[in-house]
Amino acid sequence: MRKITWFAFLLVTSCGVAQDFRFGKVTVEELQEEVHSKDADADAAILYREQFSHIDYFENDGLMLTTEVYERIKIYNTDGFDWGTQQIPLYTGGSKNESVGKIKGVTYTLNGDKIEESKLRNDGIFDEEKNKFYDVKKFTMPNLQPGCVIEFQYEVVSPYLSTIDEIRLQEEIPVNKADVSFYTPEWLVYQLHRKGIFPLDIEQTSKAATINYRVRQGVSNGGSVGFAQRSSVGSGVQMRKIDYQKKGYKVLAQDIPAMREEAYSSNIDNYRAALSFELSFTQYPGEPLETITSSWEAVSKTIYDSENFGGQLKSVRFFDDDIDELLAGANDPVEKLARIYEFVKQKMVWNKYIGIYADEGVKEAYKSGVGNSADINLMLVSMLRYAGLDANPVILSTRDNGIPVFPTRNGFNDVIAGAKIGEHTFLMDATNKMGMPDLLDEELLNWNGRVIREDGSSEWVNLYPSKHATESTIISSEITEDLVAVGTLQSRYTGNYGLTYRKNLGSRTEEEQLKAFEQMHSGVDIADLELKNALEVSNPLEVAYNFEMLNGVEEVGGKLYVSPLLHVTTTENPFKSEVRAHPVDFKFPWKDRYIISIKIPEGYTVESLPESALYHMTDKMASYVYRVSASEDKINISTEMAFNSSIIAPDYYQDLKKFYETIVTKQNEKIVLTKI
Amino acid sequence: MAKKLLLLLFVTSSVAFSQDLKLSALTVNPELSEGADSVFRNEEITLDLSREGKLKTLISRVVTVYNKAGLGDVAAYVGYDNNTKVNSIEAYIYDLSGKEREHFKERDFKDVSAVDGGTLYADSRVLYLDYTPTTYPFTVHFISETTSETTAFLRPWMPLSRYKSGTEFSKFTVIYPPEQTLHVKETHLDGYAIEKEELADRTVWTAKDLAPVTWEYSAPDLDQRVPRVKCFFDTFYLSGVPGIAKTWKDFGRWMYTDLVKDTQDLDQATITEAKALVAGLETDEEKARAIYQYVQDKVRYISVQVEIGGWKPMNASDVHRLGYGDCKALSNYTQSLLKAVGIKSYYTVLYGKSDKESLDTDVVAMQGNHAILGVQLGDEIQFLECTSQETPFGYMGSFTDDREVLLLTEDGGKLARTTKYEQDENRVALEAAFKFDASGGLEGTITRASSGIFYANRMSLARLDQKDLSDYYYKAFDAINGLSVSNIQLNNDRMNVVYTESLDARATNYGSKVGANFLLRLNAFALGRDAIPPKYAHRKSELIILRGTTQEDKIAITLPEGYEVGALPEDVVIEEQFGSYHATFRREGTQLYYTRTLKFNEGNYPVAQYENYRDFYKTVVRNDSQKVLIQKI
Repeated sequence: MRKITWFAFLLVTSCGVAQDFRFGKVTVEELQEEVHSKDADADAAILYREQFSHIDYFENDGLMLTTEVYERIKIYNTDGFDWGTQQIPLYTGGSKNESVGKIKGVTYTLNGDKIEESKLRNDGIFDEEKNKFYDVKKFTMPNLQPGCVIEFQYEVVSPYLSTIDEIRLQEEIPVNKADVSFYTPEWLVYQLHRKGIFPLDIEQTSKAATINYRVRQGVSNGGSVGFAQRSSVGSGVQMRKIDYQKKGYKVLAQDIPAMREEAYSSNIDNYRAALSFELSFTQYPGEPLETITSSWEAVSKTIYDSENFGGQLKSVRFFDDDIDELLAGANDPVEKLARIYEFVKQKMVWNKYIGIYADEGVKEAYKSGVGNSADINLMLVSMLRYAGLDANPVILSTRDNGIPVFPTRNGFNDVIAGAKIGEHTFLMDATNKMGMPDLLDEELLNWNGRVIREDGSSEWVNLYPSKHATESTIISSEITEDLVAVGTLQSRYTGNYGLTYRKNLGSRTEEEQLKAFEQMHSGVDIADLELKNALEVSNPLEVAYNFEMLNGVEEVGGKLYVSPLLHVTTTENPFKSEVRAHPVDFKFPWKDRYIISIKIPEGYTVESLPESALYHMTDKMASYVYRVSASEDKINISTEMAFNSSIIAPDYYQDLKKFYETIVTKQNEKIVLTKI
Repeated sequence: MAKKLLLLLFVTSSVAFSQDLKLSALTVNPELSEGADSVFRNEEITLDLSREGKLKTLISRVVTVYNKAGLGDVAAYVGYDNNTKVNSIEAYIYDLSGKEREHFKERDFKDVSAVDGGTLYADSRVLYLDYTPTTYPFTVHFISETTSETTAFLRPWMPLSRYKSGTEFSKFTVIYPPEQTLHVKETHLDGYAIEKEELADRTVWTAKDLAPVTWEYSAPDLDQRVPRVKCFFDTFYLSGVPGIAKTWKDFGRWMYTDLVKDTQDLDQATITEAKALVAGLETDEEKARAIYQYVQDKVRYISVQVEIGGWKPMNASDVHRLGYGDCKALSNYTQSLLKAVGIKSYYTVLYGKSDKESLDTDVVAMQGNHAILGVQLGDEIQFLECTSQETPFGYMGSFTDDREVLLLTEDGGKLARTTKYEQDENRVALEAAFKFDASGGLEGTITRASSGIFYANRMSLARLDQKDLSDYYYKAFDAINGLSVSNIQLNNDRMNVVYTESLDARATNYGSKVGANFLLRLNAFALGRDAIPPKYAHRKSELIILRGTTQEDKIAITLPEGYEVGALPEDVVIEEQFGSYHATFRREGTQLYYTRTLKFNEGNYPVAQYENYRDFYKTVVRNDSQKVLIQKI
């Protein structure tokens, strides 16, 4: 008995302490709070976020998704005011539109110990027609002041049931409490996806429910939930009902920390705690099961079966003559692949739109010479297959789009071509004029892609390049009488380095290119810049120039102090922050090699050289080799820095920071020359 | 039959017109395409004001595009809103040989909202051509016609309107009723083949063969470098509302009466509240400060553009209730409150831009893109930026300082100039005291006080969280390798407008190791090589230093036991017309003292001086990096 009382007492007290999250029940304590109890840097905090989504039957419209949103937000300072403006995008590009209603908002402020309310009125609510697909409903809360609390609620009704948009549980400010739920009739079966580092408990329920609806006599309905159709025939009306199970998903989460941006990160959205639902199959009463998605295999197959995807790979007639001619005399499969890739790359102009589905249609695009990424790369697949190669489309998610963590159609937003020759699968993107087989733009280097075969089977393929992007630079220099380091430099760039340089420099004038290099190595004057193989992408990009370096040599007390790496010295550690929450992402493995010779000026001799050294990061993720030696009239320096892994987990951040610091220090050691 | 003939005639003449156009990229004058992304082959812009209260704009523009960067030069779009209608819009694409490849009609243009991210609501929309060329070069002929109820903004004619774009032919026609007087301001027409023809009902300018210009570092804006014609009339319409220009006085009076006055509608309760705020305060300045602080605490900036094309402020009573508004609304609200407590102030129109752009005072017409408030305090006017919640009273940042503005006074419009900060006031004073240790590390404190125009750069530092604040210093003091900072103290003296930062700093491996000795750079805040302005083989434009500045550094470094310093560098004194550099090196026992003053003088300097300016920077960088040898005893 005592136990029970104690327990009951606990319950009561905890209820007493808990905040009341009903609209309007804002307390003085909430208004008085000056900083967030767990995150003093927070400009605002979501005290409570409730999202209640449910699919219901409406006699006139059929099944509709209603999303009821209610939030209570604390605003600590003026930087938090941005949270006082909310934007709700509404899809209007279809035959049926989304709509938003029941908008209600109140700003609470404290006057002494009295709570004052300012209501959101119509003059704070705006409609913007963004384009022909989207409207945006915007509202901005009145009378925001540091310390205030705002509450708002609204309801979005949508006829689109195939996905429930991502429900965020984590924001750039702390979320104290979130209550998110989704209910659907058993006929629509959804796949639940969760992402982020923060753990979420999802409670699933099932409850009996009933739909009552009217049927006009004379219309056969068969109990189908295509029951939205109406008929003007017949006059008698009969009430019917259907019993069904209502499936529910519910997440209660507390104290979800704020997310913050960091340099050298991939898309931060990848780490956000969020839920989404995607329709995987439907089984209406009396109708057969229809699969939509459920697994990677099913998603891949659904995509492949689409007319705008797999359908595009069927017809070869419009190009067969051209390809026959192109391949005349080519027997080696690699040779065939190279010719076809080059052909599509040269022929087609990318309209800058990406997508997994053909926009113009491959045939139309072939005629006009313009298309989106699917038009172009599906064309490539089709031609490679025609040439007898084992070619397949590879769908992927670009960096902007985040990593496709769960099987969804929307998780993928771009398609490239893959062709397997022997054990190796060549990856190709023909939209990229600077691309090559196995050389993709860094925006596409995002985890895995999924190759989909003609029979509908599919598997993952790693998108990251296996080869390092390399820079090999040779510098030969001397020190003039007025203590300026002058010399010539020759660099070769391969892999993604070559691609990036070509992309950034290719369309620029000579003067701009020159300026770009001067900016990269600030403080040098560059002349006679020469770029080789700017367009011959199968060869390394070659850069050569003459340079004059302002302060590579210093005279202190009659001695000369020379920076061994001249203008290619790393003077700064790019990793300065003490802590790191997300991985550092270099996008591809890389290796920079420098071979430098510095002629010893007349009348001087080497007094001391920096010591050669070798540094490693844990597990050989990265290495640095530094060698200095002197011959009779020259000092020779060679260095090599390599990152074998393009992604460094936060656990290794301190190691990375230290590694860079050591290298920066080493590179800044001087050669000392004395007068003979 | 007669009708048919007429039609036939019309068709023939329009064909003749289009045959006149040079559409093949092969026929471009190579002097105009050298280094160009595009060449305007033929541009004809007509502003037809012959119908009272209407502005019909006709644009026909033929552009040969050489590369991706030139694609935007076609400007194949028109903006429209509730008061501007698009009558027609179309575009033709021609290939290298001038053969028509494609024809885009109005429905092929994309229709989207033209509201930028900073604005919550506006009715601006844009129709634009989303075209992907398959090959370069190609030629576009873009044709549009719009009619607007706003005649207040007549687009200036600039036959060279883009960087890296040449022009073969450009024609500008302004048609207006003969009873109106056309006022014109022409700049930089000399040295170009430009002709002007004045007829009874129209004035026509034509320009031929203008070579492209390129963007240059610290140069005047494009429109200050190339030919430009601005047109204006004594009367105009703003979204259908008639207005008077004639003189700044008349214009200001009109603006005040028709746009501002009736929005100042605070109710009695608010007026009483305002009076209570200043009760007991004696001077006008104290009162004005109290009101300004009240506004800063109460409101936030939200841009909503609805009334009269976005030129009429929101009602002051609405701002009071909602607690937000844009620059117009917030300036107007502040003015209403000041009025309630008996302080005179003026709604002020200007260009908000960091390049000190003034209103073109020769051109009496609607201008500017921003509103602030001028408060009359005795004989002086103090300007208030009402959109900011943190700007100190009377402070103008680089967005609003030192430029011609228009005050709307009760006697009509009046030109004035906003606050200017002189070289002495634009000051950053940095002091540091470090200990250099035997392992090459540096440890100590840094204090930095910023005033004048530099205050604005620091004003928002307190809003950064601890991590971002540390990162800010790692960037600001990037000459110290391996820096780590702690104990950051920010002191924002809003009354005297001085921002003082102090922090503890530590750097491992600051000195470069040379055997058992170290090379030590005394200036821990040395300008790096990246500070040197870019080199130009053939720079064309003058050099502008917008604001005079003073930077003073004082650094003291204590040496570790058992070490001594070698020879000190000699003091440096450099005086140039655009600035000066002074550095001193001293030693007292184990203490080293370094001072350095770097000044830049405001001014416009001829292009020939640019290389000297670079050399000055090079000298600064070289001297900044001077080191001393710290030897083990």
